[in-house]
Amino acid sequence: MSDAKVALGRRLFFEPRLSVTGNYSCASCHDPARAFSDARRVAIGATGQALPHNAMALVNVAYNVSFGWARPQVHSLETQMLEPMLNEHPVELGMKGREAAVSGRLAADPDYARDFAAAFPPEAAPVTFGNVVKAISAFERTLISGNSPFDRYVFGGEHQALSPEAKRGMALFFSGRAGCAGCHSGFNFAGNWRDAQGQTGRASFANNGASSIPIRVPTLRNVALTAPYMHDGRFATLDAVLEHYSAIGARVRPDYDPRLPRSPFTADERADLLSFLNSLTDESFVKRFAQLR
Amino acid sequence: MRIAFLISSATLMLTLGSPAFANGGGAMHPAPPPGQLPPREATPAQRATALYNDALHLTKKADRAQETATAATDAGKKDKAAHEANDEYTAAHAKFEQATQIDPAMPEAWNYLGYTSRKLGRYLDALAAYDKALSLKPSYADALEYRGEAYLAVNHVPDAKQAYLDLYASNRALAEKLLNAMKAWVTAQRAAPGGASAGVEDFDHWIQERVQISAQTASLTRAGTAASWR
Ligand code: HEC
Ligand code: HEC
Repeated sequence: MSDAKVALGRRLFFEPRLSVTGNYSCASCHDPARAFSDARRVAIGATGQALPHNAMALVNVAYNVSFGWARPQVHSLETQMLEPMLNEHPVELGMKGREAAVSGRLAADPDYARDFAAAFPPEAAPVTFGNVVKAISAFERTLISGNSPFDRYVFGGEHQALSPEAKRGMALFFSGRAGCAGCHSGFNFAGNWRDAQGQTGRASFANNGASSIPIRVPTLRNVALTAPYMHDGRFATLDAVLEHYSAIGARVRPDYDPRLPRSPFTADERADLLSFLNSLTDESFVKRFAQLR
Repeated sequence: MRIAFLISSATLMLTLGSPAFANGGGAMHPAPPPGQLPPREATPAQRATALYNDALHLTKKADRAQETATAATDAGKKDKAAHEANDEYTAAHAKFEQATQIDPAMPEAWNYLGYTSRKLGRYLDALAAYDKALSLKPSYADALEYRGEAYLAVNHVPDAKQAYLDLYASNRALAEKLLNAMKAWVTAQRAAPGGASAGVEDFDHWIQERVQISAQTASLTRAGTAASWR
């Protein structure tokens, strides 16, 4: 993963010439200022069609076991990328059938010709669809976030980095009573587990009462920036999400996942949990990529 | 960038896998099959490995003698075991030193040179050896833990804290071991004539806070979590 490849991928991530309309790019749905998500309930494609799901935040995706809300079988950034590029029902970028034309147009741009040559040195004609995918994937692997107040507290030993409310919220988050860490687990506060076969990552999917099918447990890093929430964008605020989990605890049903809360939260507990979720925002991550626009 | 370290150490631990040296003990390097390779025809790396394995054997014997010495109530027995441990650490130390001279690129040998130096009370030598091991293999958790204990032995509290934080991200079991050593250090400081200074009480406060964080976030880096995160 050379610097030249990452730099090229970074440019391509914002490149509207990839889209059928000439005005849409990856960043149209993955805005760096929102931790690479968008503010829409569900994403909208280049031609105005609504997608079935909310655009996911792109945070530490290099370490994902699978990609997408409900797709255990998508295992690599490269495979995932074919969806926004080529999907027709609905159209996202709308590149299907235009791959060669897009590559041709980029090759005719002297800046791109130079950058592709630098990124893929041994190739005589490096401006190809495959290399566009490789370069963007290289850029995506640099979307690393791990410098939130939470990290400074737990891994950096800065005991003042969290407020007393956030510290209480953290204790509750990791407790069996709230159960959050039972699903939002590991370094990325996400489902990121290989199953018994070591493969599909199906072990990372769960039902939290907001869906009819198991959904991949999303990362909570930078979650304060990624409203609205859930695969269908049903909740506008984090407060509404916590209200949802509290309501689950208030009326436990036998079919609920046993990790979900077994009793409702008090107003103070909700405020503490909210403080904790806010402490997962990594300002340096947002600043580092916000300048890319 | 802290997370870069986190991830690289997690993946390194996964990919390096072997040699998995148990902290305090350690695994044998595969020795050349007996009889097939006479020592004088062996390569430097093979000779260093053979020395390392001998020395590791002695170190384990010394560790056992030291345990006996600690546990013994009879003064004569205690003394005998302590002498035995000292002799064996001395012999092991010499062999680890030879191994590092023959093959200076073997982080395990530097790590155990540090360990045996520490056991012989040569803390500054120990620190230098751990530094060398870690310059060769920055994610070497055993060396990080040992170096943390050596820092404590020379009262370098800030460096010991940093060692704990680095370990916390990559190896929770060893982080816990160092935290226990820290608790013992505080107890010893308090027992010392004149009692503990204010700095010691601050450190104890820090330790208590880490105990709490560690209990709360058990699921965050539970054994295997960091490694299986990739
Ligand atoms: C039209 C809006 C849209 C565009 C354009 C778009 N995406 Fe997405 N992206 C989404 C949605 C919606 C999802 C969730 C997909 C699902 O339903 O599972 C997603 C998911 C992803 C994921 C999975 C993240 C994870 O944690 O699993 C990655 C990676 C990603 N997109 C990268 C890209 C790249 C690279 C591009 C440009 C080539 C791109 N996207 C263009 C809407 C978009
Ligand atoms: C049974 C597993 C499980 C438990 C327990 C759980 N979650 Fe979730 N969480 C999920 C899943 C799955 C989703 C995505 C659901 C969807 O999109 O429909 C999710 C989504 C979220 C989201 C929205 C993230 C986004 O980007 O849209 C937040 C915030 C959240 N959870 C916080 C919490 C908190 C706080 C707790 C503890 C009170 C908790 N979760 C407990 C599985 C769980």
